[in-house]
Amino acid sequence: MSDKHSNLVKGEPMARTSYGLERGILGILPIGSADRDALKQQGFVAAEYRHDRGPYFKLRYRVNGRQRVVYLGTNAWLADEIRRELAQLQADRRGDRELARLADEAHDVLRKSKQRLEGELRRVGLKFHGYAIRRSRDHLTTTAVQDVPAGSSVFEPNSREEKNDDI
Amino acid sequence: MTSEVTETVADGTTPAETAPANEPEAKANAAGLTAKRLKKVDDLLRESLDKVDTLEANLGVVSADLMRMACRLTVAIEESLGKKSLEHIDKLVPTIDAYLRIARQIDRLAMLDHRLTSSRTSTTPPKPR
Repeated sequence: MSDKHSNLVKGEPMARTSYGLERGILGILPIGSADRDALKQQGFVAAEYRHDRGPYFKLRYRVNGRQRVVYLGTNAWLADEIRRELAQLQADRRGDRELARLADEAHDVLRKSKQRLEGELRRVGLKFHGYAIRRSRDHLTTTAVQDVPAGSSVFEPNSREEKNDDI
Repeated sequence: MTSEVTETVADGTTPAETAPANEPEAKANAAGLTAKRLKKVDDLLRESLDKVDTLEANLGVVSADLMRMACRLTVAIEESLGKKSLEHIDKLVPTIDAYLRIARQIDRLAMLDHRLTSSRTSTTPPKPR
């Protein structure tokens, strides 16, 4: 690695490499475009030791479920640069995951809010239909209506048509 | 046009004020607005907890929870819109959808709360829609 890419020394401007600045430092690694696409999803730089010697850096990632390892040598600067580029490459993906998690959490809050109100709504003759609040059909026919304290029943339907109105 | 001349746009800001250089300031403004918004939500929560009627109290508490979530979603959506590449913009859709559902539910609960309150204060119950 270090022989093949001997121009990769600390402080060497990337523009001087023959691989082009736009491809970044990952562009000089001996990996194909499929591997580079895989790195957008996942992959990391591991620091490993052998018999108390090291660290030896390796780029680890998976393509179609199979693990791939690219040996990076002992150059800590190179390892840091690759880590930084990986983080940039994976930022969109990480952001997408966070957004998806937040959307799940929002649905959870919505679901729990419904559970929390169901009992109280039933007490005044209302119920959830999906997330809409409607008058309960049972409101006029069951004894539940007698259990409602005076003045608590807000939506006393005055016709059959209004029974299931979305309030 | 020389560099000394600066244009003033209709709202009184100069073109330089809309440049990315003011991004930290815009972020600080947004953070300030979010903090104010959350404070209002806290006020609502406190007021609701003091209510005697359990349904009204629960409506307020649940609405406050939903509003807090809506606030987090707004911040996340706005941040993502600023930095997302076009190929990732579709990933925002479920979050925007969740935000709209929450906003709709807040609206429903507010309507119910309003009806409960007005029915308690007026002598004749309001006619349902």
